[in-house]
Amino acid sequence: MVKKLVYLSLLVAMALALSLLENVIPLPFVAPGAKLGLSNMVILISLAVFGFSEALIVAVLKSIVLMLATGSVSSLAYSLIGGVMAVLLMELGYRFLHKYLSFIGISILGSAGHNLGQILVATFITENIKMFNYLPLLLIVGIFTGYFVGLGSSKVIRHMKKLTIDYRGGPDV
Amino acid sequence: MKKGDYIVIGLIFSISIFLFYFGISEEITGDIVYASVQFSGEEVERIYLDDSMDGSKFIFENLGNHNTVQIDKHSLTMVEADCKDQACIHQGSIGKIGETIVCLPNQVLIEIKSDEEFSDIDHINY
Repeated sequence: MVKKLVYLSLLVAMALALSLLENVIPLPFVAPGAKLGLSNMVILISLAVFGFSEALIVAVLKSIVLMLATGSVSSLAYSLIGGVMAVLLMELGYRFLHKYLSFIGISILGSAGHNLGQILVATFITENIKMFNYLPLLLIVGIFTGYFVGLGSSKVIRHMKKLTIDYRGGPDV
Repeated sequence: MKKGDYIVIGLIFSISIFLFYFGISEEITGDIVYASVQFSGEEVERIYLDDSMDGSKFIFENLGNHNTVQIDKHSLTMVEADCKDQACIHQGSIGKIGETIVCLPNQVLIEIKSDEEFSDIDHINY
């Protein structure tokens, strides 16, 4: 229990560090506002190694601590809803499609969920349905970033799955 | 990569292409083109993009944040904003009906719309 708690807090800290790092390296030439989604790697790892509820905890805590670290309250809703949507879609892919998908496919699903969540929040805040016109571009960028996030995660999971006795199984790594 | 991964990529790609071509757009065409400046979904100002506006600058204040736009040759550009990500400035200039510039941190949205019926009362000139 304590061991798990320590690992989860380490994962939250890692997700926070990666989020802060990727704020410094945006992708302005591809699409304004598009990010690498490096912290999604940590979420995917906690989903695979620990499970759904733990991944949800890591995603929510990461959003809240990121708000405290950067001080931008307005971006909390975006990162929170985006993160939760990403965890939900990745869990669906993990639970029902793990025979057909590798971590790359699951990660791409997660990035699509993240983008969808953020567009939904933007639609609610600006009260303008035209925000959805921006979704296709984000989805296509998300395929590329999701590919590398999934590739990186599967390399990490190969080693991290030895940490717990109750590894969930899932796609081959 | 497994077979399912390619299916996921193909599915998301085709959804994107579908959304790109059949996106939400209003098919209103009028002679009078204006930029609608909206704070949190409410229109606060209309800037008519005609010749008299060339080179003029507008500063908007919302929630203590400032955004500066410039009009040039019937198009509008966000030239200055005190938000953190500066994504609105990277969105370039807009001039066609339906195009938008969004500054999410400051909750400012500028959308190009058109008016079929020109009314003098609505026309605010500075």
